[in-house]
Amino acid sequence: MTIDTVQLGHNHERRVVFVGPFGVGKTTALRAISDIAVVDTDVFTAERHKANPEKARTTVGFDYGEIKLDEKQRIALFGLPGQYRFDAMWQTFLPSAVAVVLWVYGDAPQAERDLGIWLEVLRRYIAPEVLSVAVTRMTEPVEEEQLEGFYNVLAQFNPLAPLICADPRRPEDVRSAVAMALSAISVPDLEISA
Amino acid sequence: MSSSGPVLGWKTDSVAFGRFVQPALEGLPQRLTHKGSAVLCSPDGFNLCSVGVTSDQIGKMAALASSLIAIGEATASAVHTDAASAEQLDLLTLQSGSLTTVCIKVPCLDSYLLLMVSAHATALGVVLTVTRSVADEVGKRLTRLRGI
Repeated sequence: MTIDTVQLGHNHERRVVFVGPFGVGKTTALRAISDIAVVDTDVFTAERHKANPEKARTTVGFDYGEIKLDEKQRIALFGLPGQYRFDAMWQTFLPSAVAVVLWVYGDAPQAERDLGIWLEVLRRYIAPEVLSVAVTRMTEPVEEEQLEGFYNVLAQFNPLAPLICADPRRPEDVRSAVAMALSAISVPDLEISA
Repeated sequence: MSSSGPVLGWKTDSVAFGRFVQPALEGLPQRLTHKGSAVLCSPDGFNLCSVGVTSDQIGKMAALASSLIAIGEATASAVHTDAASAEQLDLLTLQSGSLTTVCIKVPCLDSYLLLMVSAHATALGVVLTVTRSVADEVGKRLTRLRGI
């Protein structure tokens, strides 16, 4: 690289943002599929989530990664902090997202209620049609009726919002979640292989 | 953070917009004696024109500049206990070893752009002066767009 390298314009046309509660796996998911080194703003935290008590680090800024579709086309991936006190990041990046994936715990005692709370918060920042939901920590095989409660809550936000079960550690699951989110907003020219 | 609505359609043609302001940034390397870089981006972190960064860096650099200003503004408004005395954030400086980074707003019609300049082994005052000078040049070019 030389000092006078000039880069004109932004190199991604679309932004996909991962949101969800502390410890659900947003950073893990982003790292699983990013084609560039991920921006890391994780720090040690004394906070613990009952569903994930070993997690000792949390994102305080944002995670940033990219999926390279080809030499020119990229999708930018943002992972935002799950705690409301970091809402300055939400205000900055949620409005410009073409798709938002809400990651939620599938095994939390009141998982459907938690989903409803998140949807109410997100309503202030995004249009319903850009949202999709990825449910983690479901014991496989997942039966459709296990997801009924989630669908019912989601229907109050957007009856057409897609929902998927995904493990944020598995790249193929995360790619499926991103592909689902983008297909829900009718982006026909993208091919993200799951 | 204050509203930063779309300006000049940069999301649809950020390359053309970047080319328009490029002359203002091109002189930057000559004005910093050591290795440096500059990123001019929209308030929500879309690159418009950068010098001294690679194509793999521009997405994250623009996003980081945007978030730095957002966090700075949120911090300033939290520190200002008297709402009447609250001011918009004008400038952020970072020091990391020999690297100095300055981030400022560049007024742009009814909104603003962000300019982040970094330089190694260069005094803060020099980086500040160069950054403000480049911002002025960008601003002058943008005023030509009024009425277009």
